[in-house]
Amino acid sequence: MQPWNSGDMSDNPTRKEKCLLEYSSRVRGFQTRTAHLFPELNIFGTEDGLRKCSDRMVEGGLLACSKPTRGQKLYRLSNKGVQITGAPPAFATQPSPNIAAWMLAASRLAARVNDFKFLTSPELNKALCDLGNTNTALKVPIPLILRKVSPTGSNTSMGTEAHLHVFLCELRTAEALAARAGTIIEKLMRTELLRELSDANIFGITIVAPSADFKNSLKTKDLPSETFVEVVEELQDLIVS
Amino acid sequence: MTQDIHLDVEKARQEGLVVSVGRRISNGKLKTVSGPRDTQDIVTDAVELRKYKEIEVKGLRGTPSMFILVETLISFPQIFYAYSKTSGLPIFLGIKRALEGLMLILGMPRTGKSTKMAEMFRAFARHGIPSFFVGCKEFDPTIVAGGKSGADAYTRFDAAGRAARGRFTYASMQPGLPTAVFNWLMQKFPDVPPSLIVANWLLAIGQDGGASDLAQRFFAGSSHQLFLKTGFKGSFKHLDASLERLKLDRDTLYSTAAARHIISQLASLEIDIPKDHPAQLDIGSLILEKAAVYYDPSYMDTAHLAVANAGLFVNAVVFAKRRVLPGRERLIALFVDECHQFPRSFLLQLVSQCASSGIRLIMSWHALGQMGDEWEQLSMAQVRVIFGALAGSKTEEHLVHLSGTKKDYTLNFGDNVGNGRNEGVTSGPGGVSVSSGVSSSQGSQFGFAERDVNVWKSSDTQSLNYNRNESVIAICPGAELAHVGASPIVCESGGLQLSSAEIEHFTQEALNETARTFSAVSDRPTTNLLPPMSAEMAEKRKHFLAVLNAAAAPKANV
Repeated sequence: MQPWNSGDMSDNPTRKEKCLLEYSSRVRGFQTRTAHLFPELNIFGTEDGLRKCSDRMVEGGLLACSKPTRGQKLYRLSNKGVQITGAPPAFATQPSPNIAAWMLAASRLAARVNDFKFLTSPELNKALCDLGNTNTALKVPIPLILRKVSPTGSNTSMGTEAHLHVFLCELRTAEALAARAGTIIEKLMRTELLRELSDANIFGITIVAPSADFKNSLKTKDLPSETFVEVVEELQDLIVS
Repeated sequence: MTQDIHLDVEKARQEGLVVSVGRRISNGKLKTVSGPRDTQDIVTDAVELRKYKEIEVKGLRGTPSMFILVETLISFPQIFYAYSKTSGLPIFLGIKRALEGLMLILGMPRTGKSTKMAEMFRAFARHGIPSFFVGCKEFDPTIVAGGKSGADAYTRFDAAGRAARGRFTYASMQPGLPTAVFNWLMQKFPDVPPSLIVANWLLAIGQDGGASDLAQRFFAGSSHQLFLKTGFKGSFKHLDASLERLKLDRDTLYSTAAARHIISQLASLEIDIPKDHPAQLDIGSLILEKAAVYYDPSYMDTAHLAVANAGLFVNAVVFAKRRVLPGRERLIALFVDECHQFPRSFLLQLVSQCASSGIRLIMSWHALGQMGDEWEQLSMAQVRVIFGALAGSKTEEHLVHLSGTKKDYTLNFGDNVGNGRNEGVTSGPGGVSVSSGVSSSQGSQFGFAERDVNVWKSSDTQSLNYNRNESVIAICPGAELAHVGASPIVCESGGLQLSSAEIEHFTQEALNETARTFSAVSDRPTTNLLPPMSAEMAEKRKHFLAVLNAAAAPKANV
């Protein structure tokens, strides 16, 4: 569970606010249209309810928000929110376009709880410690998530395995994105633990594409062995034409 | 309908073809063929033909053979059509002249139109003539097999004089098939002014308004102006997005709505793969490669969007043909099946102008009635084939007029018999006289009444509809080996040119050629393709999975 550190707060977050803070610590940032699909955030009732609560949290200093050129506001943890949740301090900084894309994709895909598990920083560290049977977590410069994969390739959630995946969402051309995926995997394979995971067929990469055509185009490129491509059309709002 | 046709050998000879019926022409090496498959194969095989001096084509049911000099078949490439039902004579369609004025095929569903077109597609491909088949309905294995088997055959010579085969490719909008991709925007239009590109695009999607409808031309003009501003760069998706962002006044929004909607629909179906992707069809290159290409816009799946896609494909073919193979002497073949699902105004233009561009257009409809008021313009074809007609329909009426009239002499006869009997009694001062008489007469007469009657009768239509291997062909004006008279001929196919096993085989081969096709990739991970792991690694995997599954367990979620 989250190591809540709200002792020095004058006003403690409510239960709903805690839910939203924890969600933010997993997906780094969200828009209400993506976040309200997340099952645990049903407590807000409607998307509008979620938006109102988020705005109140921005006023209260728990969240911060940015306005992309198109589409809804993008909420993220504030410095105070980072302190409370124990999320990395970088989560509170103004997002670059690629980070914004990552947030949007993560918050959209996190709603598919049968397919994805976005880990908080402590959860990831614990998992990496357990995997390596060490007390010190492996430092990985790339965001990792858990992806549930059916070993038979079927679409059902029955009998799925949790695989450790790099979550790559960057606003690049298909060719550049495929090359980037290759480079990331190649560099990560220099780490013994990740190489072993790969040899055990439980390490891969999930790439996010802004459209089905982009996905099709990407699939024609040379991609690492276990690669999934997911489409998040909301990313198109971030692409400056 | 019974008619006894004969080949006018003299007329054929005047055109430069050497042919004879019933006797040999030369003393050279003879190749004898019989049956539709062998006949088609030999006349479309330039490599095999060169081994002989003369070809004997046997007629149906022991009728006299047709003898053709090989030089004739090389100078005047032919396609075997069928046999005359009455005389058994093989009917050939010359690519140079008989098919110059287009070919129209009419017939109800399941009468054999597409099969005949597939056979002709195969024949064109064997001749090494670039052939494009647009089947507006759905992915049809018969057509795929026709194109594939024709292209795969070593029936032509390459630049070095060696026997060579061609290339077959297909693009289908039917979901779930590995396919090449046709994108009109990826075609090359070098040195073509943007205004012409826009005009042709509007024509291809059926939005040009035609020549006579001035109201429609207003909408076409407005759309033309709009797309001149936006241009056709990138993909339809980009174009659609640009149009969405464009500030347009109310009038322009109204007058360009149809064209913009089509852009939007094309964008929704567009497969946006890179220009240099091997699955991307470049029509110009395919023409130069003398390929056989089948395009299926799949009306059954994409509904009305198939109409625009079919139009765009044919537009790209015509454009590319005029660019890479200019002139009317260098030929390509263009098949349009199910023409009622094709942009009407574009088809009108094709019918009237294809011949001058060296395009042999073969089109099929169900019936003349589908052509509406423009049936006269749309059915102007040198070769017309009818596979069946509904009783009482316009097509049947056309058949009746096409067949003309003949003198009919109706026999009438009469027989009359007359009998008379009289009796009289006369009494007077002189006495009484009694008279009795019997008379009889008998006559017979017969004669013929001359009158004009239709050659084609309703019973002939019924017979045509009943027999699936029969069709009626009319070739006017006659040309090459098709100087067989002005009247239509009832033909018998003599059997299929490709068996169902061959159709299955070639279709499977085409589907398995994945080097130049594109497939919507499933989300299935590739882990199953990896080699088996060692026992030690399997143990480690168990441990890794236990940790990761625990971390992924729902209880740890928000």
